[in-house]
Amino acid sequence: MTKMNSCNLSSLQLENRPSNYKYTDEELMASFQSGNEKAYIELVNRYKDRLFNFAFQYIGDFDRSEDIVQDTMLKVYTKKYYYKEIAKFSTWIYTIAKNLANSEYRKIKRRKTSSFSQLSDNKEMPYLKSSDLDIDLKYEIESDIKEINKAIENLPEHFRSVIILRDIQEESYEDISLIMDLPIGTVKSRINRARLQLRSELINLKKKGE
Amino acid sequence: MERYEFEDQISDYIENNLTLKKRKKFEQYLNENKNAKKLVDAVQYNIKKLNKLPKVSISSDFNQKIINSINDDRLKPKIKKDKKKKIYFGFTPMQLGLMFSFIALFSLISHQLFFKKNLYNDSSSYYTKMKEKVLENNFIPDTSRSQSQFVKADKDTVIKNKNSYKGDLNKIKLVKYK
Repeated sequence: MTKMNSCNLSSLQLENRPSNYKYTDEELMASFQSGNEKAYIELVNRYKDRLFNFAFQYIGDFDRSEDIVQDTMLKVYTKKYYYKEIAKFSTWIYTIAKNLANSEYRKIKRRKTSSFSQLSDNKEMPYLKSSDLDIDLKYEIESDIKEINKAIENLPEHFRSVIILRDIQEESYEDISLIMDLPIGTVKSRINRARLQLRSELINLKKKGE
Repeated sequence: MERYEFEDQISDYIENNLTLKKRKKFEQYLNENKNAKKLVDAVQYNIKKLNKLPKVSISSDFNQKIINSINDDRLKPKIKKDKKKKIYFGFTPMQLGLMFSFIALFSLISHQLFFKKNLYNDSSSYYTKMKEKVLENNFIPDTSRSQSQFVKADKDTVIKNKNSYKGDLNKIKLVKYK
């Protein structure tokens, strides 16, 4: 049995393409399906941070979000033949991540252990750790983020996922419709309602803060 | 334009997806209602805030973790194959065991029910033959049979057929007290 080793991605060369050619996700996936593991690593590099941001916004726990991304990538690896090129690779991988994040969120809710608010209250925000920001500005950004995170957490599940995908991940309505397996009209109306509810949540949080 | 219609079109207005006609109608409503204008501005502001949320980065050793998990995962299917459950006639041993116990229990119960029924109905039973003899008035008890058998037969006769041979009760008593 051959073991998978760390791959040097600069050496990624599929078929007869120029060295500066940027492969699409679908091309990489096709190459991976035919046995090229370097293509898989390239896909991991392309999506790990995007998926991590999505999972982190969804469940609000740094370690669990990393587990979700890891599980997603493992599923891509083990179920590679389930992917058919009729769909965009990004919607396929987001669907896997969304389902895993969803079940993880339900588990957290059931156990009533660590929650989004606990994380934002007790832990330093991971993205601000190494920044060279001015202390006042850092504090302002941090409190802003906490406020938004709390407001997102208070949204119902069906609103939360669409607003994260649209306004934070900046996915298109068509892609969100495929990821969520919903008609495009429903997605649009949910996003609109979610935005209105988010606005009232933020007002409520501000009132409580004052 | 009604309030609900206005709220439904906020996102389309912000993202510039309204037709010219609808847009004009929407803007007219905004000019007439100060609160509506405030709401649209607030939603727009929140969208910008969400867009600008700082991005988090996954740990630097993530790729190595993935490679390790994949290498671990490759060994798993082999172990699973070894532990594959045995199946007989499409059933697991546990299911088969349960099925056989139910069948055995069922036959035991039905056998017992069937046996009880025959004790009274079978024309060839000892009880029936004795009854016939009693009714013929020529019955001489068979002394070779045990006392308990006679007592049992006598009791049954008295209880079941008391009315049918009232006149012969003495004879039965004689058997009983012998």
